[in-house]
Amino acid sequence: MPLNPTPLFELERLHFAYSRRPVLNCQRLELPAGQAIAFVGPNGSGKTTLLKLLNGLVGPYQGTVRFAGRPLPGNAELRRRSVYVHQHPVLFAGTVRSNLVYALKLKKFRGRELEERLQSAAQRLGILELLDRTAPHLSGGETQRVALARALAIGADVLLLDEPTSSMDRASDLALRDILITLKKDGLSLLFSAHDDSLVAGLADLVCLFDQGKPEPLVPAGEHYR
Amino acid sequence: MTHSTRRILFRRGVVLTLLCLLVAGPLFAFGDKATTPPAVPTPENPRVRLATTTSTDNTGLLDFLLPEFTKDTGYTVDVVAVGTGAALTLGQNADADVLLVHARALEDAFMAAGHGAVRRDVMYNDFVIIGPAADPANIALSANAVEAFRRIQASGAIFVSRGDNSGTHVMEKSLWQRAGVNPAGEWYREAGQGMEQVIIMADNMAAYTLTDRGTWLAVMERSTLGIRYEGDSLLFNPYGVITVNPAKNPAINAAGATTFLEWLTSPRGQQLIAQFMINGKQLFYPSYRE
Amino acid sequence: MGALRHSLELLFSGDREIWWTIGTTLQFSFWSTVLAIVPGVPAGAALFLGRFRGRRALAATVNAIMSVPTVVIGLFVYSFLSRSGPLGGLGWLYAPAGVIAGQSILAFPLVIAMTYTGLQKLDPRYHETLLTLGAGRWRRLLGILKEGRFVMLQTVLAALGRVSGEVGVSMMLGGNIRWYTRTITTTIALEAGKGQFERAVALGVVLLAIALIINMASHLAVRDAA
Repeated sequence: MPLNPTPLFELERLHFAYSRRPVLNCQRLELPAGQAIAFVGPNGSGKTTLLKLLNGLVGPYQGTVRFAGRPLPGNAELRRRSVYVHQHPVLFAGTVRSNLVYALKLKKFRGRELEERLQSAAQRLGILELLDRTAPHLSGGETQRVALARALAIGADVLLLDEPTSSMDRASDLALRDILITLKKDGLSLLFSAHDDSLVAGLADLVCLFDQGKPEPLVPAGEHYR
Repeated sequence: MTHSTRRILFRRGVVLTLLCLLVAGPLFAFGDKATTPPAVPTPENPRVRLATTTSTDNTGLLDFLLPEFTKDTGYTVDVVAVGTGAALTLGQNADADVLLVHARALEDAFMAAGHGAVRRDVMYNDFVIIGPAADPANIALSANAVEAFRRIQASGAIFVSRGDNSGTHVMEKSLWQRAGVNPAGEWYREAGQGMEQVIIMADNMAAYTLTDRGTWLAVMERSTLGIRYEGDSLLFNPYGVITVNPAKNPAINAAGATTFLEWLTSPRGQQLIAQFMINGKQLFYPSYRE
Repeated sequence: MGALRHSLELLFSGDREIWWTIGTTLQFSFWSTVLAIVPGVPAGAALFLGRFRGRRALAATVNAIMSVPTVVIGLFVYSFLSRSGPLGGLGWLYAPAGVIAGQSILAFPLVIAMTYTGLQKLDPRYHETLLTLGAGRWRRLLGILKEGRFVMLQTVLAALGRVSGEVGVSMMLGGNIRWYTRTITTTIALEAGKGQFERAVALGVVLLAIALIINMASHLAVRDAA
């Protein structure tokens, strides 16, 4: 076991408030790489805000957040490697294919490489047959898979997922869980919020309990369930 | 195609059509540039801006004269119709090239201050006092215009004033002064509008007002008022044309202004002024003397 | 009722001046809207996307400017365009260019404010998705405007409505010059004042029709967006 490797995320004396109402307070938290980490807590406890904050989508805040050793604002590596996926993701106008192409073009992929990445991501998420559909004609589970494919296609290896299996029927829930387990095995870091124990139990390596904006120290999933 | 997509496409079609209509409007307008047809002479700077009184515009005199002027000289005249006071201010600010106004004292002051280059008499008509048919102030019995004004004030009838420092307003104020009346109070209404507007207002209030005869003849058939006093030599109403001093601003179309002044005082311009009639009545009398 | 019929007969009796006036009004409105939209929409979007100090104060200021009466704007622009003013050399006073300049200045804050508030009403997930996928500032601007195209359409229509129906600027800067700068509204003001109501009513009907068309299109745009 390597001695104290650089954590994926480090939070120090973090304080974040939406118009003076405190949402997040955290003295110190380290999130290791290559793990599936579940943020568990009731609605409104700050899980979604933390995931967005880790992706640089909300701010400004007090304190320090580092990704791979470097502070967040203007961290190019974070932008390149991590993608945040909404609880109910949105797709842009057009087909599933055009959504993937748009994201790939943002990252300057062109021609054959673009097509290969598109096909490979679509295959991993099982959405090859959806490529020509448009956003309004997709179910919640399908939309979630397209959003994940969009993230994988552009090479993200840190996925920040907000309640990824909520409002899905049982079958798509299980299918998505299997996909996420495969992604974890492929070495991706998965940070996700949930209050659904089946997803936490089946996927998480580590659990972080939330209590009114205060994340508690990480515990291994096994201990959490004892 | 599903029903819902067809409906969305239909709505898009409607939105697009409406937008096209809005955008196409301008193109139609471009196609039908109904401005005056191209004339034989083509001056270097073909637009002359004339600041004038509402009386020359509202009577239709300019609509009668200007096409002829354009035919003869190739100049198009942009008419800004305001009161004499405002027209002189436009000249002072160099925002007009030539003025056609009627307030001799103000015109002389304008020339004395160096704002104008050339001033010439053009034409005259006269002012009349109009009022309701009942003539509640009995001004028809007046010996002169000053007495008529005194009678209006004494009777308590309403008087509508232009209140815009126009030539008519200047004349009206001088009459009040001669009558020794301070025009203020419930009976005295300052409109701040053009002559036609004021006549319409006076009609609606069954009030008296002072107007130039030209505008009155043009509005007469739309009004229930009538001339209640006329004929005093004090009510003489001379019009002058003034070219704005081109030294004030290089943007002034001096050539166009001079052409207009010369044309208006030429035998042809003077003859046309005399020919202008409404319902068989002559409105203006040419008065240029070399 | 007879008067109204007479007015409508005037419209369809091939009276060239009436149709010229309508065409001129549409022409002025079209160009001033274009000139207000081109800088106004990006400015509104920048106000929405920007993260600078005093952004809210700026947005409030724009909103306040929007309620400045048209004659005040007319007076302000007049003082610049007068030959004795700083921009007198342009020769725009009492010319179409002056009306168009004044009307675009009139519509400019409206366009900024409508773009800004319109984008605020847009689902924030679109912007967050663009951000997390690594879209740069311009890409985000374009992406947001594309997703908010119905907002933009509404903005354009509102600007058209504002400039086609205003009288203060057209009167003061155009001078109501026949066959040159006379518009629907200045004609109405002139003719009604002279007691010639037929022409005024006929043009009033046209103005009403234009306003109705604009409102209908705007309404359809909202329904399409939903």
